[in-house]
Amino acid sequence: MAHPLQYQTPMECSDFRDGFSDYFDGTAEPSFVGEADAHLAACESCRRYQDVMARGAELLKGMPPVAVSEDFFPRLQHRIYHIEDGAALIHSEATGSWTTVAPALAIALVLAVAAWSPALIRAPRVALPPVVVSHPEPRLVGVRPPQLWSGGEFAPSSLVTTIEMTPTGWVSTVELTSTSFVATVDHGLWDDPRVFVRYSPLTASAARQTRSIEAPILVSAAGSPR
Amino acid sequence: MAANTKKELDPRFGGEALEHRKQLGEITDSEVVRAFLDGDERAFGELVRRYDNRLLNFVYRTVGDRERAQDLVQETFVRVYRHLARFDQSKQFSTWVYTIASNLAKNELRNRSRNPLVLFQTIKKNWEADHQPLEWEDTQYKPDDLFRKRHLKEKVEEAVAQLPEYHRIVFVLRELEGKTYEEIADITGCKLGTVKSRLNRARNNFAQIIAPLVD
Repeated sequence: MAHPLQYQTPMECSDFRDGFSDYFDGTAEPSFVGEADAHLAACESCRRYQDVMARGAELLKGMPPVAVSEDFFPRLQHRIYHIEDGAALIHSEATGSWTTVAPALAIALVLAVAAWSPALIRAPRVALPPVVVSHPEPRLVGVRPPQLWSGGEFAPSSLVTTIEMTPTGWVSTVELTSTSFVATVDHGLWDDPRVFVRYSPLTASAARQTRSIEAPILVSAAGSPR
Repeated sequence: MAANTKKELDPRFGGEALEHRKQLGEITDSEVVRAFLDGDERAFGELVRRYDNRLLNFVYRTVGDRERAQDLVQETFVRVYRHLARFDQSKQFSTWVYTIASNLAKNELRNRSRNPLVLFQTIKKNWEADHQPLEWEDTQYKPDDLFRKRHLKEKVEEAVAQLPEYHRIVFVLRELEGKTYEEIADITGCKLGTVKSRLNRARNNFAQIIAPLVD
């Protein structure tokens, strides 16, 4: 920065640069222009500053201008068409809105009144009969004949089994004095996947021929009586 | 030229009535605006034709991204189309349209500063563009001249980009668009003193950046 006394001018560099834009653009007061001219004649630093600005502005103006791409107008056109569509839609909605909205409002009002009506709130309560869940009757699905029981735990004393031969095959009749045993048999029979019933008409036919006593039995998959 | 042909053929932007377009081209902005408000759809095309590239250059130098600048200019015209009926015709149309574009550019810069990803993408995009060969360069120049020219161009663009947002808008409006202080004050919504102050600071910063390059 040049010292003001060196150039014998009242304007300092900071004053010049503070008012530089107006001076540069030609909008400064004439008095300022006179002082600035005198300062520039004496101050090399401010002359340099002005030269740099002038050159920079020239470079900036010399930059190649950019132009809109070719799809600019179709895209703008497309957007404007949509604006017009939107405006038309809003207009049509505005004109036809009352006839559309009025019935809907009326229905909504009726429903609201009905919902809040005291008559509906004090409606008699319907007493429903209690729901009773009945347990299904126990089923006896298969029992070994007593002669094949090995005794002990498989031979309850309260069970009496009668096996008769009829024209249609062997019929076993079981009488139980304890229902808990029947329930036990019924409950556990189908839970064990290893258990199956071995029965066939051929078996009955063979039994008739050999007159051997062999009724359908329950065996486990492992071959041991259940 | 292709764009001009397209405009001439386009029923909205110029239309087949070349004579009508010539008439529109000879009247002032406010008369074109009045024609559009009176129902002449082609008048809007005339407004677009007058301001598209000017606005694009202004917004491009402000936001630094050409594609985004084009989107913002489109948005500017869409807003002009929507709100032209509310435009105060006692004011200058150019000031109004520049104000819209300037506000959109300011919003863009604000959003970008809040979103680092967008900023990074823009920088990356500009970096890639800067490192492509410049097709408009004169091949008669020597390699040193070409390098210097490209370097100078880059530095000038960088110098503009480095200016603070508010200084940059004022600087571009003055140096590139040639707007007066009063017009800049109207566009930016600032007082005249603020415009002068910002412009002075912007010029000072700009001169400091490019001073080493200018001999």
